Order: sequence, then C-alpha cells, then structure tokens
Amino acid sequence: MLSLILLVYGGYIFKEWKESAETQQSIFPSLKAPAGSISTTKFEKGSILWPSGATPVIENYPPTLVCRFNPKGGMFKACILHFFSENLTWRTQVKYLLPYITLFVFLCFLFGRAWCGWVCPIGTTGDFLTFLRRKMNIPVKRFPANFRKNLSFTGYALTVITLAISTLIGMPNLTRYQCYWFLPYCQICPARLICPMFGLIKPNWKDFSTGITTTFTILAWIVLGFFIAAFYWGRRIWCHMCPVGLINSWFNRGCGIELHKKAVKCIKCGYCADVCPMGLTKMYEIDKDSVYNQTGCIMCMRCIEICPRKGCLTVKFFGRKINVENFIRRKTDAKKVFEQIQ
Amino acid sequence: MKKFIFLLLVCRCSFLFSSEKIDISFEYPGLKGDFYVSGTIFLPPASIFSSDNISVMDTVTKKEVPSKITVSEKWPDGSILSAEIIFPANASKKTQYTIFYGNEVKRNKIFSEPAVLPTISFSTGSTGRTAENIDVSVGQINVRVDKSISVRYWWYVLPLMLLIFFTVYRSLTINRNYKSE
Repeated sequence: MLSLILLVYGGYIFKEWKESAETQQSIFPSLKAPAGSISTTKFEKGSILWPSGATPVIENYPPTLVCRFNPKGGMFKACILHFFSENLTWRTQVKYLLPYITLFVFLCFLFGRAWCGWVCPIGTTGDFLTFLRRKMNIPVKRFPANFRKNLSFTGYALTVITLAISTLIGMPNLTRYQCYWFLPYCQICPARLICPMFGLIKPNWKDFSTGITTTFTILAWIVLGFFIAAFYWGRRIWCHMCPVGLINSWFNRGCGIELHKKAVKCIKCGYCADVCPMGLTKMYEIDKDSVYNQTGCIMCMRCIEICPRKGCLTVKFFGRKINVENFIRRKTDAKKVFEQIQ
Repeated sequence: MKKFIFLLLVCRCSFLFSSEKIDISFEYPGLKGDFYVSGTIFLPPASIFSSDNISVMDTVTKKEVPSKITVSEKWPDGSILSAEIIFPANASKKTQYTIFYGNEVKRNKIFSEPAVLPTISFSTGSTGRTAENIDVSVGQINVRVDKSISVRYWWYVLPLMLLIFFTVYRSLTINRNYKSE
C-alpha cells in the first residue's frame, strides 16, 4: 500500500526534491521528444494518443505497470514498455537510454517479480476486485494449465507487435503514421484508463476522430472488460499477459529474493498450490530441499502465509533468511485458510 | 588536368545552384475554411544564408504559396539552422505542400497574417536536426563542439552487463548450490 502511494502520489510528496533534481545535472539525462515530432505535437486535447497537458520527457521506469497517462503522477512515470515503445519511435540514441535500462535491470535483479506482487498499481486494483468477488461470494474458476500459458504467449505477441510497430513508425519514410500508431500498446492497455483515476484525472475514454483511434478505443474497452472479468474468474489472470510482468519474469529465477522449501517438513496438504494467485504448483510438487523461484511467481508470499508447517517454506534475500512473519500474518485458522484459497 | 578542373567546376557550380526539398504533412480534422499552417524546419549547415532562399510550393498546382519565414537559429558559419514558416491554407482543397530551399530558390510571394485564423502545426518528413556536433573552421585548427548530453557510456554498460551476468549465473546455479540447513 505504501509503495502504491509512493508510486502514484510520490510526485506530490517529493515535489521539491524532484524539481531540484530536474534542474541540476542528473545521472538520468532529461530527454525530450525530437522537435517537430508528429507523435508529440499532433494530438493534445482529448486524444487517446497522448495525455493532455503532459510534456513528453523520459523519466525513471520501475518494473511495474505505472502509467504515463496519469500526468500528475508520482516519481516514476511510466512502464518499461512505454519507454521502449516511445524511444524506438523517437530513435533516441542507446547511450541516453542506458541509465534508465540499468536502473530497471537493477530493480529487477534485486526484487524480481516482487514488484508485481507488492507494488504494481494495476495488480493492486486487481486484488481489490478479487476482494469484491470474495465479498459477493462468486466462486473462483479453475482453468486448464494451458490457459495461463496461452495468456503468456498473447502477452509476448503483444510486446513483439508493439515494438515492431514502434520501430517501423520511427523510420523516416513512415513518420506520417506516427499520429495513428504512436504507443500502440498503451492505446489498449487497461492502465491507461485506470491509472489516471488514481490522480483524480478523467481518462480519455473515447476518441472517434479517425478510424484507427476508433478501433483503438473499442479495443481498449474490450481489453478493460477482459481485465475486470479476469479478476472475477480468478486471481491475477491479467498478470499472465502483462508485458511488463513478462519482461520482469526473465529476472525472477536469478533475482535477490529466493523462495526455499524444506521437503521434510511438507505434509502435502496442497494449500500452497491452491492459494497461489498465479496458479503455480511447483512449490507443492517439489520433493527435495530446493529453491522454487519460477518465472511466473509474483513473490506475494501467500504460499508461506498459508503453509501450516512453520519452517517448511521460507524466504531469503541473497542467501540471508528474512523473517516474513514480521510483515505477513500466518493463516492458521481453517476459515481464513479457506477464504484465501478462494 | 583540364578535364579534372572542369569537372571540379561543374561540381562546385552544381553545389552553388542546387536546391533541396522537404515534404510536409499535416491534418485538419474538424477545420473548415481558411487557416494558417505553421511549423519549424531544420536545415543542414552551409545550405542557405537567407530566408529568401526558402519557398513553399503547392505540390498539385506547382505554384508558389505566399509564406512568412522567420529565422530562429543559425549555424556557427552563419547559415540557417532552423526557420519558422507560416502560410495560409484552405480545408476545402486537398493539397500537398513542399518546401524548397537552396541557393537557386527565390521566394517571390511574401505573406503577412492579415486575419486571425486557426493555426495548425505541420511536421517535416525526414528532416531533423541530426548533427550531434558542430565543426567550426578556424583556419588551421578545427574545433569540435560536442552538443551531446554528457552521458558516460561505460558507467552504465559495465554495471548493466554485470547485472545481466549475475542474473543469468544465479538462475543457472541457484539450485545446484543449494545447501539444506
């Protein structure tokens, strides 16, 4: 919750610090869109293509789905896909992008997909929807294992298509298409419609000015509908196809946070597999003492929270044991365990 | 030798009387009637020295369009780096415009804004301020002014490579080195 507040409202809290950092020489150079770029001058008011009133500059990018379309947002302003997408179009030199990429990789290396589990504003919104579903007693749906795999494939496909389009419209002969295809993934991302509301800004729900913007508007509604429906079907369905989460997952196995299992203490109750919001079962299946970091794991620690055998599942940070019970409440009550599994 | 000098002269003359063109594009959704088109063009060094060497042409009718040109920035040699151009257009006609610049180009129709009309921005096709450095010739000495932002490449490449290496190394070995407590 604290991380979410910092991400969404940090800009207000650390306003003076942020402004002084902008005026001084920073290790993160302030980069703006090239002069005369169609992508930044074309649409300003009420368009889905650019947040109105926002200056197109590059800022810091955390490994979560924070969104640029909340222009009064926090210290971090956009997701890494937005960063790659816009700079491929602007054809920014790699040396200027390196500080941001290094920071992103460093944050991923430290915490892996714990960013998704603990910080992401869209994940938090989804958790809130899950909370509502529980209150309304809507049972969780069980999907076949392939369903989640297919979602990941869709996410990768979306990422590749987005980066390909962004690269193409950055080419000199195709700049005229920038006004339609700039930030293609952002146009359909649910974060574009949800994140501005955190900053009490009305998102640009619709833009019917051209055929392409109309198509994007309709696609965005469909994806938002899927996003909301997905959390009613199950937990964290969206996170399987989130491109930022997918990029983040490459670092998951080698990141600082390690999830350990002591097999001798396991009683094979299966709660850990049932409670996993990402539908992972490896921690249940392992029969030897092992690290069970997986690419899909969002490090939410629900498995540790629910495990009835103390010391069976533990967390380490670069080999140092962390006492997770300081910040999670172990569920021992059968009723609470059942609630969590739903 | 004569042929060589002749060739050199021809090349030099062709440079003197050469002209380049910039295609511009803009859209006017929801606009009716007359409006102004405004935008900035960037030119390479030593191309032109006067704003009179820039003219706007209607690509369809091949006629010059009256334009108002203001020089915004100059290269160190005095040639024009960027210039702001304003010219009138009408939404009823579907027209394309091209900006010509060069020593042989002469602007004949000068335009001043007589009425207050809506203005829309245009963008230049493939042109842009591409030069990262400016070469200032001072006789025997060539001074290179680095305009790029001071980013030390290796400060970031090395940590980035190390981070990626450690991530891959850890993901490959984390389970192999596992020691049960």
